[in-house]
Amino acid sequence: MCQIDSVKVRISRLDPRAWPGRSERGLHVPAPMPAIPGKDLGRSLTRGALSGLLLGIASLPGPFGLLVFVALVPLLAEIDRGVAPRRAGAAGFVAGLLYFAIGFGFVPFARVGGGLALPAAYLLGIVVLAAPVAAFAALLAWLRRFSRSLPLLVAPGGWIALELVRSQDLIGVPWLHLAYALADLPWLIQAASVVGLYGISCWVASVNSGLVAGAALSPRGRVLLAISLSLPLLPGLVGPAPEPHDGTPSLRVAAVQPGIPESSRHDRASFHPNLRRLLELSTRVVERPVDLIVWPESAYERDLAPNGDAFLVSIANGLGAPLLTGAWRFPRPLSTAKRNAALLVSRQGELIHAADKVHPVTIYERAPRTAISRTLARLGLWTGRFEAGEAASPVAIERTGGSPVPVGVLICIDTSYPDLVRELRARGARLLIELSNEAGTGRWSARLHARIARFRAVEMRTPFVRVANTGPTQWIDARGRLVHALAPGAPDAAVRALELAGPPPLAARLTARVVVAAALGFGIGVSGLSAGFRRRAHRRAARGSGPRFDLNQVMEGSSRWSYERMS
Amino acid sequence: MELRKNELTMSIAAALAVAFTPLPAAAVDGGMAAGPTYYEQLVGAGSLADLESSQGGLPGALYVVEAAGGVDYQAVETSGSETTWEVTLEVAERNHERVEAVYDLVLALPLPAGADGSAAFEAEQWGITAQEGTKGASVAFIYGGEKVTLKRNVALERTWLPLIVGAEAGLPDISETGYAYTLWDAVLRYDPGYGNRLQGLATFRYQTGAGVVAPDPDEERNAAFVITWIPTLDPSVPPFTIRLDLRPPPQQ
Repeated sequence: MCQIDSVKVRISRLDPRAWPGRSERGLHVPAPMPAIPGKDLGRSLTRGALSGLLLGIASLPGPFGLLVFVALVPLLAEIDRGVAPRRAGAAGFVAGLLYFAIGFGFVPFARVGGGLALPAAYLLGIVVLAAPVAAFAALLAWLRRFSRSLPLLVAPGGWIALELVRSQDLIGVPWLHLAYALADLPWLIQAASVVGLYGISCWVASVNSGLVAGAALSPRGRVLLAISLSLPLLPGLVGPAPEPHDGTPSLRVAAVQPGIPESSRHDRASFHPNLRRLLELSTRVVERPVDLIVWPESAYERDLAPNGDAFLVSIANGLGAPLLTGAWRFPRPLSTAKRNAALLVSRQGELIHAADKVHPVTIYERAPRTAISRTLARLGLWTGRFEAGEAASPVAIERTGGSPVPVGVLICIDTSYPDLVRELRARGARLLIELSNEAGTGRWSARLHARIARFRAVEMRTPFVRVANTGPTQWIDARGRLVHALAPGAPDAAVRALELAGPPPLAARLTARVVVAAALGFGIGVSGLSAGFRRRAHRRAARGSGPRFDLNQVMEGSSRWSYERMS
Repeated sequence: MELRKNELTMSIAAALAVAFTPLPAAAVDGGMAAGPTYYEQLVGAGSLADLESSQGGLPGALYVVEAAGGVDYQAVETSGSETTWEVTLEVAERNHERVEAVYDLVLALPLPAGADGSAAFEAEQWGITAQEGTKGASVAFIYGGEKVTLKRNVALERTWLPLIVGAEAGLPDISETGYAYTLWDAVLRYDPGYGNRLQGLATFRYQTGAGVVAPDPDEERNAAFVITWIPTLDPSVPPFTIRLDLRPPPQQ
């Protein structure tokens, strides 16, 4: 795995007294890892770049998702080799740059916001996002000084901690998690209903760590490792358990995908043609029995005043079914700030506020709130104008011949925030609906969103309907299988019945922070236990009885890195 | 932005000027005359967008014209304590709006009501389907490729009727006649392929208790109204409305 022989000379120069006191106490500890010679900097950066490239490709919409299982291997192997933290940080930075440059490659080409805001945000963003990856790699390299197993055990927890941190509002980038790369292969991610998004990302990172560690394990150790890393596949291999239903277990949802280009959206001259298209498509689908008609994000291109909109009510009345549509609304009288909202017209003609977008996209959607964003806005580098909304409760959709169904409504990227979806599920949602529009950001981003929706369906064990202006519009069952999809780009509409969700799964009760803390705790705990075993073994060895098991020793012994062999 | 505001103000002023110009005495039905229709005049050489408002709201006034045609109520069957009624609405051939827009075609139809204003009838139909031709020789009215069916819109009744019933340029108050307005509507997309003129006919059946009588044709307030509303227009623009006078029921 590592070119150990080439560094033997330097190792021999190591002074065991570099860690004062340990030798004196008689403890047998591994020495600090030697710095790899400067000529290997290129190699470290190349390995970092390879990881970034693989991560980036795995994140692309396409059949490359499985690459995510090996994408971190080059970087982790380089850290495992014992490079200095600074060099590992440089490799991590290169990995992060490439990962996010490829993964967010659609951003500079997006036709939203105008001006240089998005290209500038892209360039700045990939640097900001790459920095924590650099810190992650440097930290692992530093931990490598203490034990060989420690960084590999900590890496999964550390990686998902990065994913969690960048998903918070401060950075606001809840995409490109390792787990999402597998969303198009739902049989692989069924364990998401138990461990959630971060659990699956942790599993993927663990497989990467395992591949690095496995090279140093005995055949028996490798088998044990492979078995334990395969355990999350079990829920996908076992058939679904029958779920309790209330007699009328499905909801017939009509989704309308108007395919209106960004250039003519919310253009006053195009209002009527756009509305005509929505109505024509809707009329086509309501010829069959329908429980709910759904239009995409901000499809109804009138700003809704706090007192509602009689026209929207008339439209729903004409269609003869409840209508859920995206629209921009003024939340308060005399308010100048808008919210990107979802409105429901019930069978009784009531206009119900179903949801607001809780996380408007930074830069081009969210109104500036801080001094920095206001300055950027003055420079034309921040074009957002929407205020954030609050998390909503599910809305009740009446069915013919059944009790009302609580439906959770999400607007576009809000689907990327597991906590929001978890909250809807906890409040009783038995179906999730996402209203989206990616006409400006393009098909690439739409495919990424569609993946996220699919993942959420599995994670929350909830059927999911994603209704997107330019597609793909999808009906997804509670195990992430596509029931039906409309081809992206073309105007279309369809109706499909989806079986409603049963009781919430464990993932609906598990917060991201708990998973991250558990993963980090597991890594550190196992490594600590291993160190404890090692000390005990050494004491026993000193008393004449041999060691039983030591993960570090197994790994370090096999690659001849242990202090005793080098000194 | 400022320019847009000015344009909008001017357009609305023009609209109001057209709307409140007194009708020529001879022009009982403006839709019969050749020339631009109400909304065509409003839009003029500009665009509809200039007259639109992004703020939702309901007009407090209507631009009402007398129209050729009418409405009659006829008891067609009495059994025990129940009477079945048939309302027939006729709109004579007239110009139809040719402005590229989405319209809400609203029928304000008086139907029996209790003292508290609640409905005192039971509809036999869920909608009122428009026809073309004459009674006994009619075919479905197809506009924009679809049959036009007006459905009752209770939500619109709740919100709009209080604004326009009894208003100076609104619907006459019929609260003491034993009848109350019901609103039936259909959202229609402008069909450029349709001819310049249209004609319509519709029937609607409902049941009441035995004590209900037909509205009095001699009472001037009794009429049905067909409102052609472009809901995206600024609420200060009165929707075009034709009044269908009440006729005595045809002799059996």
